[in-house]
Amino acid sequence: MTAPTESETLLEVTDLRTRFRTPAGTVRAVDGVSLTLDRGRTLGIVGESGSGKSVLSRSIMGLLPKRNVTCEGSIVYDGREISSLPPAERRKLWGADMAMVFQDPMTALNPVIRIGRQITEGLRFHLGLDRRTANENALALLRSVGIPEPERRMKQYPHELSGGMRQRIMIAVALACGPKLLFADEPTTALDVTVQAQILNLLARQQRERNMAMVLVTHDLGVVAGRADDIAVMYAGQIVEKAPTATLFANVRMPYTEALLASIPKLDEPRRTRLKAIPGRPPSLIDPPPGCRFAPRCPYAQERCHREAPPLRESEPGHVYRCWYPVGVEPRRDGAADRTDTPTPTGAR
Amino acid sequence: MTLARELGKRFLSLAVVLFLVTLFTALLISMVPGDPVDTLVPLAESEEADALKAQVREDLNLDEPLHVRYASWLRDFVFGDERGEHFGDYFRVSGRDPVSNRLAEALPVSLQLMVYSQVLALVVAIPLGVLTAYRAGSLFDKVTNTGAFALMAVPTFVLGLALAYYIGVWLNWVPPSGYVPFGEDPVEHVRRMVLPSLTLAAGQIAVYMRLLRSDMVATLQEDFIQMARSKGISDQRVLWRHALRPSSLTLLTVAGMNVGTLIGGAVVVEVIFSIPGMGTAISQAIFERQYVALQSFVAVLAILYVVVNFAVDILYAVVDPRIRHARARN
Ligand SMILES: Nc1ncnc2c1ncn2[C@@H]1O[C@H](COP(=O)(O)OP(=O)(O)OP(=O)(O)O)[C@@H](O)[C@H]1O
Ligand SMILES: [Mg+2]
Repeated sequence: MTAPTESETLLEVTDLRTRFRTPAGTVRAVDGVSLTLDRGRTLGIVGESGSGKSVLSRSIMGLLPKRNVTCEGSIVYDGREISSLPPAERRKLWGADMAMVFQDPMTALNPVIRIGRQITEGLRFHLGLDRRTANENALALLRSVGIPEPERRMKQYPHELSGGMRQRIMIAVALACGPKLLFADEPTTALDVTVQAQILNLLARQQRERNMAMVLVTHDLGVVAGRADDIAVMYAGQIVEKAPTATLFANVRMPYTEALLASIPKLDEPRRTRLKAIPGRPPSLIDPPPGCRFAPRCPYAQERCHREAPPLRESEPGHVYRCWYPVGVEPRRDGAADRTDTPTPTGAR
Repeated sequence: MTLARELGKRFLSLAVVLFLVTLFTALLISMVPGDPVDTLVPLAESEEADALKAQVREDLNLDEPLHVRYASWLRDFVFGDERGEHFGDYFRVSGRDPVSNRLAEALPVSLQLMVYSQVLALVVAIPLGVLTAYRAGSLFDKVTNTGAFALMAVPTFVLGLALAYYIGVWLNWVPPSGYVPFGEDPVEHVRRMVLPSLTLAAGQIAVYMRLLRSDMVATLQEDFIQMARSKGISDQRVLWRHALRPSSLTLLTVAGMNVGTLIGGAVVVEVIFSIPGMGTAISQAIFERQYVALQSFVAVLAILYVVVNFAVDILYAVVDPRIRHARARN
């Protein structure tokens, strides 16, 4: 099935724009996003709630509702342009080529269908397996995602399992047909801290074993720090900074990323320290401000930032950002002196 | 043990419903003006007639206060009278005529009518509800909803008469009235039950469809539907296998409670289409002032109502495993 010269690039998204028509106006949930992802690699997408992370992953998959939604831009998957495929063709990719792990395991499994059937359903549909073979595959899957007593679990309903177990089940469902690309949309946000690491490790192990590419969505830079090859930071529907993980942490350019970094709790801080939230709220996606979208909350914002939207610029290979007065690039214009009393991103506080 | 307790609870509620319904019926019928004996003994004024009437009055305890009459009916209903009859007798000048005979004929006919119309209502309403939810906001959705709204506004008797006239008489597709038992001639039975069942089902179709649609629209927003879609299975499968069952609890509840409406509707429909069921029997009993028979009919329907709702409660647990487990726990 694979072409003799299989390219390294699995996914290439160019200028993706997703809009929702609502009574209040058109919501530009994703506004000109471009990204690439190589086979077997992990892309972390980070951003505050409402920045368009989920809409972005759903747009790439094609999982959005049909009514009152427009989605433009190019999505090349495995060398094939899929954004223009008819829905039925697009659907053939779901489960088999790309799959999704959802945020909340409490609500993402069907409450009235047994676990076993929820796993075998995709297997039987895509691979045409008979009931017995599908059941055997499902048992193997459950074992591989670390579920004890898989035979018994198969016959249970979701409400009989804990949150962590359910998330493992969801991962099993997503992995069932051997996808090449996995979207994990905040796979651990709804879980206990102790379970979070287990689930993330499970995902990483499965990814390695299957050479599967992954888009790991989170609002917590700490989650992707050690796990993603590249990180894209989203703000108000746009990618505002993207770089290989090490580069990003070493040379933050975008003040928003800096603020996100500052909000990660440090291990050496007392347990009760409150997360440092970024003051202010993200702009409306219906009528975004004309200049930089982060300007109203940015401690370094200048007059130009409010007037003109900064383009995506490259500072070093693979590191792009969207800012007129990037962090760490001197000399900054007037007002840069304020920086002394704002927290530094990586320094020990 | 839970089953025994559950049954005990059910039985208690049955007893309460039964008591209230029959007591209320007794009260109502006692308030109908005029002497029931004049209706029961339709003879011209004469000494002979007066003697007969006095005799009837005595036999039926008509001179006793209401509560005594009611208590005596209730005792017979629960324990049976001296011949083991639970439902009492029609009063006839010609002699005794047990209500149980009439009940044995009328109840199955009414049950048939109700079952047919419920099945018809569900068979039409479920696909419509699912499809309008799937295509919510489309032209199909709007037209269907408006149609349903109009249908709900039409009174049963108007619809029944209209169907009987246009389809039965004017188009002459099926006989406009009458009843043939299934065992006698199945084809003719179905032909004659079509219009009454349709009349009775029409209002329910509209209600069921709109209920299912609104629950289904909510279910289709759920994460687990997104999840099911993301497996790449067909939309049909997502709708029927993943969305329908979690959306049907309200429909089930209302369908159960609707048995009351259905009984009321059946009375009207049976009269319009001359079907010899409970409705016809009850209206006859009212006109003839056969209050013992009336009370027994009403009691039987009350039992039917409670039993159906019990069955619906059991169905809940079949539809939703969470309810099943919650019940098993306590
Ligand atoms: N179906 C929809 N109709 C209208 N607006 C929508 C719809 N879905 C999402 N949006 C809007 O798109 C924006 C981005 O939402 P999205 O769910 O992608 O955010 P997110 O980054 O995933 O946030 P979270 O961390 O809370 O999951 C939000 O402002 C949201 O209100
Ligand atoms: Mg989200």
